Amino acid sequence: MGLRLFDCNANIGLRMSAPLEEPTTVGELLEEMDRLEIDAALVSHYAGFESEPLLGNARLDEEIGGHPRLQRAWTVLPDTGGDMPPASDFIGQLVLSGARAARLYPQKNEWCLDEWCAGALLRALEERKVPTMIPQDQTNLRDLHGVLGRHPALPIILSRASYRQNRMLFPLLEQHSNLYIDLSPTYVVHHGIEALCSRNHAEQLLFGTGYSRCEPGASITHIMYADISEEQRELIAHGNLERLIAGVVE
Amino acid sequence: MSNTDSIARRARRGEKLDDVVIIDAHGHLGRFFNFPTATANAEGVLGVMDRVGVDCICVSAHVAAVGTDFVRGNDEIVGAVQGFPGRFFGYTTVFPNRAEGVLPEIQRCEREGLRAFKIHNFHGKKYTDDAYQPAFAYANERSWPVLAHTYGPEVPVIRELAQRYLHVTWICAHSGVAQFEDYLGIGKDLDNVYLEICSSLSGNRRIEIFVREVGAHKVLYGSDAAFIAMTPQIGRVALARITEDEKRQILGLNAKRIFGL
Repeated sequence: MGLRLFDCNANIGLRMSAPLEEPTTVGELLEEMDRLEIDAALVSHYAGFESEPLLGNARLDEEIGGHPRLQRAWTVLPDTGGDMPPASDFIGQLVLSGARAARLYPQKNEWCLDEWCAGALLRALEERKVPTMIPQDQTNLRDLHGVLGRHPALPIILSRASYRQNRMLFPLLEQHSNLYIDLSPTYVVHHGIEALCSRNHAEQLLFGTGYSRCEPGASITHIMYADISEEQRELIAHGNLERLIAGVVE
Repeated sequence: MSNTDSIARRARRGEKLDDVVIIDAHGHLGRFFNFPTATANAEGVLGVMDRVGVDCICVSAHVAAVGTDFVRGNDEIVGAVQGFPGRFFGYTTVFPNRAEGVLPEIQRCEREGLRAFKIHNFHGKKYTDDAYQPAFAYANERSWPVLAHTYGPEVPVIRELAQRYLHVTWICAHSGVAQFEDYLGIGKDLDNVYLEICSSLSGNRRIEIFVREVGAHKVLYGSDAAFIAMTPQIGRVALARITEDEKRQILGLNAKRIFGL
């Protein structure tokens, strides 16, 4: 067996602009995980992004609920529009359902991370220490800096970071130990993993594939060929995400 | 791993692929304005190549390919090619916005040993622009390869040029990142067009479809390193659902033939 891999960023369902042969089902995900020896995955449903958050969460629960190798990440948003459960109830339901992470799409769902809009939601996530993933194109690093500082117990996973952003990511990681970087595409920096580990950020990096949009093999060799210690590789491959998930407050 | 081969097994474990000819058809060297590039030099790239088992990388300079300093950039490439024999193959970046950036620069670099071009529409000119044509005619007379930055809309332009300059080997960089069907079409239709695969997004199953629809003999491994990391693109090929023989063609044997290495 190779190094245990726990993918922090896998997706099922139909992506709006997916080409015809892009996989969509949980069966296809599991087949790919078997083929590539990916042991576990944190999974979201594209319906939560492309169609409607509650529909996506329901479909995620129906399609993979209770699967021993798959953890669920719900799509959540503030109740400011009157069509979502109150934040504390919503995040309580998330935890009670067995989901172990949240995804935020402020840009897509037309809200913002400022306290006047998202404070109650962010506090609820922070109280439960729910790992919270935000794609880079759904916010900006200035706003993220504010959220990380105001909610220091909330673990925030930045996904789809760009390979061009290290001039901001380095100081952001330095200042906020509650920031984590998903290493799935497009965070594909020459010597990037090595640079972050040399700056003592190995505990803030997570193996992720971006499946089904992205080729998971790319993320595997990205981490396996990185010039880092085996201890750091273990943390990135699975240890950090396991620690975050174990930290969710029931 | 199930249904796999020796390349896939070793790549999954991060083991050096030292019995596989690996030639990276798309690389860059040097500093750049847009992001930190402290180790984007020949030594920094060689370190990754040695860990993976990449024999040679075909490079142009950041400051030339996506900048304006074509003389200094091309000199940087000459330095790497001459400083590390066999490990770097150099592209001359053609700079179409100044006459001295075309034939005089090509001939200057040819005297230093460079025998292929890199072109990039970052420079603001369509590849069918008159400014480029002396370069392509020169390459056509010598059967040199041209690596063209593409991101979808350029494919019809390459199709036109490939039918005009039949002795040039046209390499479409970033094949499949957008307008996927156009890449399948040009790869199938034209013998002198090859599909180079690098993409920061690493679109799923693109390589398997290229192999099935176009053929492994027309697909080239490229990484875009050190603009981005070298190692993800290795995984896209090494762990793809294709045969080991097809992987070997894509990883290096096709490039060995095209570049005469």
